[in-house]
Amino acid sequence: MNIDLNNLTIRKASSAMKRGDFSARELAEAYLDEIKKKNPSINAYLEIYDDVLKQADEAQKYVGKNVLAGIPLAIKDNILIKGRRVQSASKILDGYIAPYDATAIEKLKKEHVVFIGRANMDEFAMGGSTENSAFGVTKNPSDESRVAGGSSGGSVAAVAMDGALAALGSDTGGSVRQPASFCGVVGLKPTYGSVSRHGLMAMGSSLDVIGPIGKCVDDVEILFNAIKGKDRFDSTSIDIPEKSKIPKKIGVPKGLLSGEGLDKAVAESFTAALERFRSLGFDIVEIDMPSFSYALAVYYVIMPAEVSTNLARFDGVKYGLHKDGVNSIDDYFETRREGFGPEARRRIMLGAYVLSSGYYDAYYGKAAAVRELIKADFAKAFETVDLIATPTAPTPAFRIGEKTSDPVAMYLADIFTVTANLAGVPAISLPAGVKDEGGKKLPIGIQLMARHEGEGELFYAGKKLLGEVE
Amino acid sequence: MITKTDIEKLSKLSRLTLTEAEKEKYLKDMESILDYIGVINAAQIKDMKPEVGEVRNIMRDDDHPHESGIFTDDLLKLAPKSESGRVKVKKIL
Repeated sequence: MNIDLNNLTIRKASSAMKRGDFSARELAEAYLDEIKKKNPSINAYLEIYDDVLKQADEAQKYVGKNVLAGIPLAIKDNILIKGRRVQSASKILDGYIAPYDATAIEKLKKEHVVFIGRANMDEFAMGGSTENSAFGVTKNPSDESRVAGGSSGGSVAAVAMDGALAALGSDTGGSVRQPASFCGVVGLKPTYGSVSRHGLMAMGSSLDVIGPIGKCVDDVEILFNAIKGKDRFDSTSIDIPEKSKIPKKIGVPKGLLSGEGLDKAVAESFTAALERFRSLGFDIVEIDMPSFSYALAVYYVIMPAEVSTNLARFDGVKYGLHKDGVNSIDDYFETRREGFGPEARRRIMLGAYVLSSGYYDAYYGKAAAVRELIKADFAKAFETVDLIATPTAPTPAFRIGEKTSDPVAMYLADIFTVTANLAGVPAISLPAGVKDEGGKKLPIGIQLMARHEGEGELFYAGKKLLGEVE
Repeated sequence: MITKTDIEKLSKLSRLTLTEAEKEKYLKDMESILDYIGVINAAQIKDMKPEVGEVRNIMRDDDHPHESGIFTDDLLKLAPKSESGRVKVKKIL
């Protein structure tokens, strides 16, 4: 059975299964074959489930009824699937078995998707390269000397290497969009609360959201519609109204392309993408977002503060790794020393610092106030424009090891993506070009942001840009 | 200015054991991170509100409780140590 995985989309796969061109089992086998060939070097998956074909046989019964029936998905290792191992690529959750389904997973089970396996990531979603995984880096399928990006690097690389048709990741500061940009696929960070966080391991609870990844905008839209909605187990969750307007005007923040550290090829593909939007009938205007210059600093105060709180639960008592010390409190010290990697420790301590009574006003209090300015800038901008465009990341995928010794250099890769998380607005990364380097083609992404609940506008503009037929 | 003593206090607060070499490394990392995030102090805030966000205390109704004990076994199985239906820890008194 020869299936053209490279050009497959969810709708194409679904119709082909309906016509009987191939079965759900044959589709799953095709992906498993690719994984066998590519995963040993790419390291997108931490585990391939042993019941994939059994799931596919069961899904076959629903082919023709649900568009997602039999569609093979990769799931980031911080989203719970009942009865399966899950550990956020951290040693501290060694041996942990999910006791329940995340709400997003429960919804996907009702659509009869096929879960291929759990995807590699930076430990507890902290990082921009998957180099913080306790199980090794995920390499970029476009150039294996480079990172896939992060933290959802495994989910994205799985899609890019044809190891899954689509995937779920999570996005706290760019963790779906930045790797999507690095690997040349589409990644959505939905409106905060539009997808339930129940069963997603918490990192920064006021920022986290589960996001879909696919090869085209349509795939991402189908997945988003399947997992969204208010959930009684997440009090911040909301229902997104169906209404959506046709976006016309795209705003570009002033001074965006003159910033330091912006790769020339990124600036060029961004300008070219704007030109394409213009030729498609969109108006491009310059907008003023004065608070944007503080966004990354605000993010690196608020996020570690929430991380230090959320990661306090890993103590070796209730689940996961346990290391024996001389007494109860020593057990915590021993377990956490053994279980947490360097970036997790750095952010836990940074969070404890910015929350400590002597520095609370200067850091956390100030950051929370500036976050309100960022929200106000967005609200003001969306009075005049429908979408805001920026590059997704300042550079294409960097080399493995290039930024590991300098945490601030690594954090700067998030400069364009964190604003959407701070304000809670939806944002999408779309493939916008490539940079030729050393005989390799490195993908480059463009980011579009919309008002709260404006996913429909992102999908519309994204399909236009990529030439997907409505 | 963050000092090595601060790192020691933070690691203790965070229940993290650090070696001497790690203390030096994290001190250096934290210095450069704090230097970077210090730019927020240049932001002009007119009236700084102490509140963190507008959304708070959204509680779900405490209705339709599940039958008592149906998750106990599954959850206890995940605990490193348990004994007769309870998570087991070392003596604390």
